Amino acid sequence: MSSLATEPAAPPASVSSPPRPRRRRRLPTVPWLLLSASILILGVLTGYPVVRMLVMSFQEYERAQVMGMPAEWVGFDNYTAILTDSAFWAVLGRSILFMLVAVVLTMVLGTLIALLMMRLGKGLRLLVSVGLLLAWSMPPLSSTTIWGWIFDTQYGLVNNLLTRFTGERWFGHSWLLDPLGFFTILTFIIVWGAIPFVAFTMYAGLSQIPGEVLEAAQLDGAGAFARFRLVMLPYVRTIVTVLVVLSMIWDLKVFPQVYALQDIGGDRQKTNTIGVYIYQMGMGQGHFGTASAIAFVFVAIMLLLSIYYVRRTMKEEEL
Amino acid sequence: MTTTTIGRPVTVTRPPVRKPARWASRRARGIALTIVTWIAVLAFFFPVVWMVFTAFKPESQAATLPPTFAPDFTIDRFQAAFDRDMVPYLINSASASIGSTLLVLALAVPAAYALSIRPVKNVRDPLFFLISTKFMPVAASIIPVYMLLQAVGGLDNITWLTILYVGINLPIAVWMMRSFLAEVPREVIEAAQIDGAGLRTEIFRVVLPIVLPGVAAAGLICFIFAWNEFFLANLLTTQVARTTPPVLGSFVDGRGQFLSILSAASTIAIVPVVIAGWVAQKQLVRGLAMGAIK
Repeated sequence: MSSLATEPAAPPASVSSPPRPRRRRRLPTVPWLLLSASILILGVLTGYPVVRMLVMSFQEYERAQVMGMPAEWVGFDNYTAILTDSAFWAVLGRSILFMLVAVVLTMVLGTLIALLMMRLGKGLRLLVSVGLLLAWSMPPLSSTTIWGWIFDTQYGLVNNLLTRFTGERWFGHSWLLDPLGFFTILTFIIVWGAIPFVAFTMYAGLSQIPGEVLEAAQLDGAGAFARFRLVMLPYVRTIVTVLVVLSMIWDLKVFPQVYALQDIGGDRQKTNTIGVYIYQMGMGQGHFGTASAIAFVFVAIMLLLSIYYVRRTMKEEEL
Repeated sequence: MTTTTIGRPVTVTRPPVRKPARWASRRARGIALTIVTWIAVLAFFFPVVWMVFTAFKPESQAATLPPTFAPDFTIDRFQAAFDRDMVPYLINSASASIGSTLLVLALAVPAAYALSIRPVKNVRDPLFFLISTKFMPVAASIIPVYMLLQAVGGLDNITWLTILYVGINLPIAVWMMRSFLAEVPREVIEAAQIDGAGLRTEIFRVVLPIVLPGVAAAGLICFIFAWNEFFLANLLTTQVARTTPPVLGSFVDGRGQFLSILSAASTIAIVPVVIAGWVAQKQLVRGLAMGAIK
């Protein structure tokens, strides 16, 4: 992949056909110009809230301050309050654990489905694609409601089937009240909704691999797993990095599904994830200073984690 | 899964003399593949199909014990959803989604080019900056955004919502486009450059056609994200610029009598996504057919 691409701009000597206007040595500023619009837009769109929140996180900022009351500076009070609050650490640990499980499941299952799609005939592949597309198109709130119905305490499909097949009475069994059950179902909903994106993207990436490369590996006697690990994976490594990083971010910050599922019947205290926790602290209870401080602690953790991960994987595929 | 069952290389050069054993194992593999496929198909179709099915039930039969499989089919709930003024909300959703997706792609392709094919120095820094803008939880940054929009009169305004969606989707699109551009064979680009292709020709005539599947995938993710975005839309719009997801949320009133109308409204809401997916899918397939450029 990138090994082919390492030759910078050194043209083979033979192509020095004289008069043709050679455009190879273009200004080094051109790439920066191409990049600048995106950087600028994102800089403004994130810069403004970040600065405001940074200020807020050192203030006592409540509803009254939003209305115009002058805010009082409290130094690191918001931060010490969070960092010594066991509830915060519980939420954080829960969110990270959930994220890890969800990301691994999403990546593994999504990749398997992409590989499956490569092997299927036209008809079945179309069927799988349509199914993925349908799942992907579901608004999170609707899919949460539907899954909530499937696992409903009273008239849910799962309890219904279990009662029918085990002979025991499952009606009235709540899947959501127990935090473990809640998170199992949440993982189900999130992974179900996240697989299509991963599967489609992996499929698009895998289909860019030249057929000859795979055939050559096959002729060399590489087994299916070896072909995947040694031939396919290096080709799609950048794509895998992107998918992992994005999935991590999404699953850590997951919001509507948790919120809706808690509404259906979960113990908020025991099932809060970081996004919902910040929301309740800020928009819910009006402790905007504290909410901002939590957000910054969270961002700091994300930076630490991702600097390590992103740097490491990018070094491997350095251009 | 299927990949691990048999590692036997399949000879491509000559049709193998089918020994019975090999033939049987191949057949077993084929059956396993089919079974797995159908399980996957079922898992992805079922909730959606059930939702569409529920949308045609009267509210009283939506959640019953046991489930009603032969309901009194009715389009009454679709009627009710439209009576609650779905159309303007759908139009709002469409303009925010299509607008932000087009803007994002227009910005992301050049940016990704500058991060892969002709990279700036220290590619990692801008890349990292882009993705780090996604670390901030929206649940927290909503507060200053809300106050800012209030100050400039941007609340309940579809243009502002579109701009925010650009900010949310742009890093994803750049990262994705970059990973696709990185796979473009360097020789193809060099050949174009030697032929005297300008930057514009190079991007639009050489690079873009090759990465069209990637553009389709990135565009689709941006569109779907914006179309289904709930959080910002719920807090920053009220009436004029209200989009579909918060409206779906308003159907959920917690009293148990909303399943059919929610299903009907959701069914209406997924139609445009399926159409968009169909368009993107065609590009994906066309890109596949073009795989021959390698």
